[in-house]
Amino acid sequence: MSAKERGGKPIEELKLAGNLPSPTGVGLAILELTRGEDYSMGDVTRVIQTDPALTGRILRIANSAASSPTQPITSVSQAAMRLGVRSVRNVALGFSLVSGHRSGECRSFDYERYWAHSLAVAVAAQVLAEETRGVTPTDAFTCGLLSDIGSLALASIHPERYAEVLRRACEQEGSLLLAERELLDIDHVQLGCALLSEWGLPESFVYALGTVDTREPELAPSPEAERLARLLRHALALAPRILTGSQEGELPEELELDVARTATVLARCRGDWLEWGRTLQIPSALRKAESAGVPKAELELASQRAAAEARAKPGCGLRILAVDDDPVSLRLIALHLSRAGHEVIRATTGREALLAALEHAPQMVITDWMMPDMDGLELCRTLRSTEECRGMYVIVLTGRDRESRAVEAFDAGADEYFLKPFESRLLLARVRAGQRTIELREQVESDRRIQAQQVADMSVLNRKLEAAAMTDVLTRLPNRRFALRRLEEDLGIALANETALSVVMIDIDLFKQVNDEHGHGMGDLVLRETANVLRGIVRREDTVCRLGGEEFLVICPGANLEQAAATAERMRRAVAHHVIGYGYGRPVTISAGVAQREEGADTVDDLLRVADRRVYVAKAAGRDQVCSEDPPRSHAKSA
Amino acid sequence: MSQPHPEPVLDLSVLAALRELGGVDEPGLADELMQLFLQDSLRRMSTLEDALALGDRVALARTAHTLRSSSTNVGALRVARICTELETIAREGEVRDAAFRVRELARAIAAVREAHGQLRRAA
Repeated sequence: MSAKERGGKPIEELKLAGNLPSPTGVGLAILELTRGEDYSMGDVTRVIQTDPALTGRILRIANSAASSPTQPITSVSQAAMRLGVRSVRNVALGFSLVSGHRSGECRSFDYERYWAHSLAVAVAAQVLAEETRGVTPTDAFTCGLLSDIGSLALASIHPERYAEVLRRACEQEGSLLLAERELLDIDHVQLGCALLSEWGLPESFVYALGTVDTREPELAPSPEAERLARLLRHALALAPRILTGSQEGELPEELELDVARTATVLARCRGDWLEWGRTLQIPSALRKAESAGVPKAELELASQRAAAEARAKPGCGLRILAVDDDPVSLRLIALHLSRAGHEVIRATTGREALLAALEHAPQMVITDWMMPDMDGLELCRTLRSTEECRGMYVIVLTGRDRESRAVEAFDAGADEYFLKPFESRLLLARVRAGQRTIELREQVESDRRIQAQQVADMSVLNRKLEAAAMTDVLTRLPNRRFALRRLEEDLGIALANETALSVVMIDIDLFKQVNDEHGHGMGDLVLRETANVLRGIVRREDTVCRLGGEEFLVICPGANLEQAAATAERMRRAVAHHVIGYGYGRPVTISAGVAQREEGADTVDDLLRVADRRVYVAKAAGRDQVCSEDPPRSHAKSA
Repeated sequence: MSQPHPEPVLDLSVLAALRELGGVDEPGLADELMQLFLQDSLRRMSTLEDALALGDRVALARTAHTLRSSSTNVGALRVARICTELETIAREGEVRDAAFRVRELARAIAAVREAHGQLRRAA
């Protein structure tokens, strides 16, 4: 049974529950945009850039993944250049899941610990990937981050029943999978695999995840998947030590690291984990580091008590972040709010409040206006520009002297303002009014998600239509229209980042003869076969397009003239050695012209013209060859 | 040499209201708030001194503003009044006058500390 099959059936049923963790906002947009194979770097970077928090995280990982100390990466498109657009897409999806599922309905499930642990696995996988090579560190990070996503999913779909599962697993010691299967008919590994394939993450991720809980894994689909799976198992073994900060014990022998190296690796993991914990605002990584080793069962008992208490007052408490640099006011506000049944988180500066907002995801923020450092309005504006905090209900407190400027508070995005010194009954009445708005908003938000899903379904159709318009029917290669658009885009990025870019123009030799001698059917076959050979030769970041007739274009971002010429030469040789069969005896050959972006040749037209000219030179010199320079012209004017 | 003040150091009715607010659940609330205020005001005073030394009007005004808010909450009327005046001076007046107010403020805070101590001993 493959991992996909194992999860294949249940996910269809579970989807009906509608509570599966899913990327939200930007994550959803990225997922949609990249469902197919033909998404472009420009598309992905554009979407990511709309969210400042996500952008920061992508840059962070791009810079940490830089193996050699080069120039720091400062834009998403540079990150995509360095990491590959697929890795960026995957890691963006992973992050959007973290931000969307900080808390949830299942009271026995420790969401904070869950993310702290996943983050530790991610960091360990990334560091180990850098140590051992063979797996892209960014992919290792993403795979680690999502390594236990099935548990989160089960807790989201069945909050009540999963609590029961956790209780039972605790009694039976360690047979969580068994308890899951008994009570829910599916375990978290199966579901995790199903989700990863549902989200279009690489097959190697799905395979790796499927092997974590089995001693006899099935055959890996690729060597890469095998390496990733091994790495993930090692990362999982390391994670507890990252959480507790313990240096003891040895790393798995297979890693072949000596004692000194082990200590370095652990220290780096721990450091990275704390850093990421801060960046992603995963609180366990900040303050609960020492208690993170507590078994789930004990946490569960504690949270059961909390659950019982929470249920005692149904529906009447909000999670409110109160911000004031005056400790006396803050204490009083917190007192009134908590007496009214609300959960209060306190902060004394704007920056502290921002961190607390990301960490605790409050439904309401009550902030003083005048504060040093970051004032209430700035806090408000910043919250509004962050995906996670956009929807929070914000009340700004202000002294009477500023009443006339209340409009500024609304302009900054506040929902309400309130005068200080406050009268408690009035404040609480405003909070109640806010609560009604929040409940409405949450309803609207849930409706909006459903709509977004419908829109997403529609856009899949649209994208299929668009893809059809961009694809050459015969060869299944991108067509001329796509080629020109892509070249324009890649050229823009290369110019902005001052990186290399080359193109290879290819023409099949004596193609007219093929059609004349063997008919158009054979001509089509030759085109298709040649297209397949070219597709198989190029680098991952290159794009092969059919410009029309027997003419192809290969776009090679990041490649200089020499590198592109080498690719072209490989393609020439491969085509010449390829046997087409089907009664077509003669070898097919190609002539290729290579051009690189350089001063004086930095537009699409320039590049195509130079490459085309060199194809002509190659043809004139006897065909079946690559030309990457203009011939010395005998009649050339001397400078 | 200090001028007579138009108001008492502490408004006892505010303290009584705070005690009532604390009720049986939090009988120490009034004292806790007063402690919070006194601790905080120490920090604010040093910020004010720094701001004076640097001639930083914005910091002066902001700190006075915050201190006014906390002092009002605990009924420290004199501190609150001086803060209001200091804030206005910091925004519009002479920094020299501000220095005078800051000294006056330090005395007013000391007076609150003293008065509160007496109240606690009497209780």
